[in-house]
Amino acid sequence: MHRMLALARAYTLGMITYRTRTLVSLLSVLVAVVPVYFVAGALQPLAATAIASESTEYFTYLIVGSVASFVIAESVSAIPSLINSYIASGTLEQLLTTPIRWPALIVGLSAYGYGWVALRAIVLLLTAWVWATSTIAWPRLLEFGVIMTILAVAYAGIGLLAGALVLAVRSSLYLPQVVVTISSLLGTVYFPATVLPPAFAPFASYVPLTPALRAARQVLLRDQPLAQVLPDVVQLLLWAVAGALVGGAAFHLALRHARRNGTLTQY
Amino acid sequence: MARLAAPRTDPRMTAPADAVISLHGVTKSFRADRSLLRRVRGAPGTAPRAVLDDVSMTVGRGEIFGLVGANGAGKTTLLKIISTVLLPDHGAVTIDGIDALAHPAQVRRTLAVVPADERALFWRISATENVRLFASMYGLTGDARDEAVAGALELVGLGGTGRQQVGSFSTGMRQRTLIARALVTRPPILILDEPTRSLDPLTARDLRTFIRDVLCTQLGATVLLATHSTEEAMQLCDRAALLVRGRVVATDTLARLHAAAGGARVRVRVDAQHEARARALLHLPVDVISASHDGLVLLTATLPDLTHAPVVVEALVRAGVRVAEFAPVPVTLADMLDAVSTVPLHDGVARHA
Repeated sequence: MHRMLALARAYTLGMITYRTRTLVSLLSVLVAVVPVYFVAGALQPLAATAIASESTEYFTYLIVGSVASFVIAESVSAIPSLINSYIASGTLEQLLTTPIRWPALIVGLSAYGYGWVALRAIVLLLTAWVWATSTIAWPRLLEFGVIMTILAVAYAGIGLLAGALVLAVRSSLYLPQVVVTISSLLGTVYFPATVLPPAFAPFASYVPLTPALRAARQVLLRDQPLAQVLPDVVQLLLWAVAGALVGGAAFHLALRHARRNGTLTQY
Repeated sequence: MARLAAPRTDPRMTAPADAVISLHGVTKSFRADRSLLRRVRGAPGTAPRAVLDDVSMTVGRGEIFGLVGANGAGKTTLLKIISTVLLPDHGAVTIDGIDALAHPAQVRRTLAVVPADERALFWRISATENVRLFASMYGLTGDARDEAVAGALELVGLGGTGRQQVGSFSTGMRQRTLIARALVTRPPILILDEPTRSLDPLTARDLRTFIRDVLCTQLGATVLLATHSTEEAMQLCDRAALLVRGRVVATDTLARLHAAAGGARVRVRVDAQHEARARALLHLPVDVISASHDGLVLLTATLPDLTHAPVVVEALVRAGVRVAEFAPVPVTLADMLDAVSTVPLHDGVARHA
């Protein structure tokens, strides 16, 4: 555990030196809310019925969807991106000559990214709270956080798979981009599954983001307890377990392959 | 230069009894072209290329052992196999009695690597934080870790760098940070990959002194050093392996490798009027080129070994030759490679020297 924390600390200390970038990134979150607010307001009469089971206001529906988008983007992209840059600099190789195990290495290096996602999510939710006409159930924030954490683990499996591809063939083969795009389209980030064309609608249930957002909106926008959305949470948990197992196994095998084929190092 | 036979030594004669690093028959190949598509199509150039070929060697406890070879000879690949980052195709690697292929995690606790590339540091944090991170990686915590970090930084002369980011350091300071990072847990084995590659001559000299006096003499570490500088190897190493295209073509003490590669060459500067006499005494054929400047002629001669130097100088002086300079010529890696290239590389001749 202390190795993981040490790595998270070192990585975070490095990242927080990018002060201007951090500030601009936070400001961009605030700025991005403006068009969402007005577009959501314009579409509210059209969307009201379709989103009624999850939210009374299309704006907050989109905000929660955006928070989930941050989470899945970080989960699927951070690992392959870090692996790629750390192979190029030789840092990964150096870290792997120490007694640290790869799961601790991955978690330690990813910690800052998730912390940053959490901060942006809070800023986004606070902005929505100020602007929205409907309420946000702040006492349910912890339960919302639990759902987002399980969602992060579910998609981190795909991130590990993409990281494994980088280790093995030095390219993630666009897996993160494909997964984020498909999940965003089918996973009810911008609109409910009911408005999808009939040919695509059934696939929405095969995307981990769908049960996650259904549960998250019920908890945060409809003030429902976690017990009330247990079927969705269990479904999400199954995705998380499967993702961690498949992604973990793939990463482990890829690491061995990389050690054998030299793709771990900067040739 | 007169070509000499490749150095031939028996590894059994030079292998230390208390071996800390032991490699036997290590072979490694890489694909030069990693394109999956080209490989599937069977395009030319996608076949594996041998980088290490049947490498065997041993490094004794407390020894500074050099891996000497030109760029692309396989030095770094060999170091990566020893540090468990790469797996060999064949062969056995034992580090401090531990089978490195079966128990890599145990091996990683016994050694530390100083890479050639300082980009492996975290550039946006201080040297203290970089070293602290690695101390934590090796299980140090609390005050013990902080003391070890301060001690390691002090040892390499970076004690006063405070919160200054590594990215703002000079190359030499970064190199010393890498060494401090490796030293923080006082590992019994240190692997240095071309540690002076990007340093200026003065910093390189200081670092060599540090390696010899502090790492080995003071701390008693076993050091495996990859270098393409024979000067560096001569200054630092007790023994060395000469690596040519992935093969160890010679393993011996540096003095013997040096001698076998024309190490007893001397430069003699004499009065131009006495050139013929000097040539005769030095047994120099007439086709050996001499350079003339300010009435002096520079000759390069090869002695049986340097112990003959006083006798030769005395003979020259007795013969009335005015000698302005008499000095040994440093042997370059090119000379060594030149020497070993005169014999075919096949089993039992020059492979292990």
